[in-house]
Amino acid sequence: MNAGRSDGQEPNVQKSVLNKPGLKKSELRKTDAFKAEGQRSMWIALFLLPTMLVFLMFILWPIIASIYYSFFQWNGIGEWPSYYVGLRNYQDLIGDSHFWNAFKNTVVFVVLNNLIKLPLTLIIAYMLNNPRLRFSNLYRTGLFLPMVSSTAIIGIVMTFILNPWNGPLNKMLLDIGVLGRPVDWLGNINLAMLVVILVEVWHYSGQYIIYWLAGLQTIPKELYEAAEVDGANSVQTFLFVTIPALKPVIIIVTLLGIVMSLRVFDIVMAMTGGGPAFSTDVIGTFIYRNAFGTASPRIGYSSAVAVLFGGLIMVLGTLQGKIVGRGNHG
Amino acid sequence: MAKATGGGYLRRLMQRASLHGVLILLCIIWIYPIVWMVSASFKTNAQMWNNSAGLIPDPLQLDNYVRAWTTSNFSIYFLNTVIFAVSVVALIVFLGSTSGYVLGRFKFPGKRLIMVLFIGTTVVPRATTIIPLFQLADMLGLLNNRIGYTLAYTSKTLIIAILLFIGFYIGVPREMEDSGAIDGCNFWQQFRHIMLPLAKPIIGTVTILNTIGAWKAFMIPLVFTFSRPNLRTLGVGMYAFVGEFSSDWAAMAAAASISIVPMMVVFLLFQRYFIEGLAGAVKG
Repeated sequence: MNAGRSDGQEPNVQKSVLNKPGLKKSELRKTDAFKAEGQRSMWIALFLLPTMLVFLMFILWPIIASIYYSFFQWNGIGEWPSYYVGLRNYQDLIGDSHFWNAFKNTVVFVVLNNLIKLPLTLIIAYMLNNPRLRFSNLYRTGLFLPMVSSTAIIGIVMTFILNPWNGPLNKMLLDIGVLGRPVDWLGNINLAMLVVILVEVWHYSGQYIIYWLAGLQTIPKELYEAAEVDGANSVQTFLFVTIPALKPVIIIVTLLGIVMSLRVFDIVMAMTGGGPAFSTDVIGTFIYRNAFGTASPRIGYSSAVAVLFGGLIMVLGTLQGKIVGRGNHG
Repeated sequence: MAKATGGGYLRRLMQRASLHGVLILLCIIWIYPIVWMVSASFKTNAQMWNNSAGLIPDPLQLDNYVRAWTTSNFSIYFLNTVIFAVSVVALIVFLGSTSGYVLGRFKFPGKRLIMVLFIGTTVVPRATTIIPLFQLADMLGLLNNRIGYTLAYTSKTLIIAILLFIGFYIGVPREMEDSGAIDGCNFWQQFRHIMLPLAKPIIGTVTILNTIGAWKAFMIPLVFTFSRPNLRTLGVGMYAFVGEFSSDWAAMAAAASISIVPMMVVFLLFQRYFIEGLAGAVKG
């Protein structure tokens, strides 16, 4: 059918064009193609215009403006910053113990969150990937369910569940005798961060199980069959077949996990607001507090934090892009 | 196949049972907070205090929902969230499909630069650019209105949708357009009647990912509705509610259920699209 079309119909199109008088055949073809080309360019521009407008205004401009603001001292009052301070915001940053505290907490969050989340979800995905496993879809649905709920609300539900006065977690642990007295999970400066991390792991584990399942499906069945013939048990198969074969996926998912968890904001905001005593304060909440959470906003200073931090994430993101790109080509 | 010995069979059975045991335990832990929340939403405040760990409310009562829905404005927040999610999805499907189509199928000057900018900026977290975004919205009069937070939220997730559409349109054979050209379609008609309907699976994925994403949005609606509480979405409303009525726990549980359960239903109905959309990140 395709062949018939290109042989039979194209001359018809040309004929209809040739019917116009006053132009030589070759000339006509050129202007026609020219016109079509011009029209196509116009359409392409028209198709891109709305997206580019949204992108330039709401993505690119805020990034450029952040960099610009970071060289000014500004409390956000008035349309535009005017008190230029050069690199002083960046110098202040280096001497600010609250910034370093937030930075340290962010690193702790990113490292612990991924150290728990990635292996845990990989093992769960490995268990679920068995094609002979019954009720697999039911298990998947149960494990995926938390990730569709909003972080703000999850945070609030969790503060109920964890509260030291009548929270069900404390009640249950007291009843079975694990605890002697209730624990204020979110009010203890040594525990709060760990608890926030565990809640985040629980909340987004489904997403990572999906990533791992997608990765596991790329491993050829023959590898597993060979392992079975060799008499490997499932733990051995996991360690010596799955992990090595999954290496490229492991790199991508790990970088994805790092970049995503660096953005941490909602869960901390909803569960602790950065407290107690700044023990869960992360870069996201640090920026928010300096810009919106105080009577004298420090917009320039917050912007300097944002630029430094955004720059770091962009470097990591580029690294991820490079690795993903390489994976696709070779 | 060799006949399994009795011991081997027993060991297999044990293995399988323990696998199911682990998975069942995990599922119980995973859904416990959600089940607890829904059950708490039917308890009285006294029951929540005395029997907080119990999952069966007795007597079961609906008053919490009435309080959350009417006196605490969750009916307004719910409607706001629906309007927000629908506008976000409509905008993303329109912008994502049109620009994904031209970026995926045509060569033109500047295309490389656009792609580099798009991909390079996706990793920048929202928290780091929220201040100038807020200022810009203020200057344009977009603060404290629906258009403002819809556009601001859309801009961030749009790029991922565009990449999904690009990935799809690169793979569509060239003949599809040629046939349209012969039928005398112009560029727009070709897109509207041939290329857009082809992308139905991607539209499905983008729709479901962004419906759930918009429903969960927090930071943008939070800072864009500081002085207009009646424009709050569910997440922001809940956050404010906790600040204002921190003793009415049962109503908070009802409000949380109102916020979370609809998206769980959506997820259960369209799980496949959601999973395909996420898995795409790893498949590259």
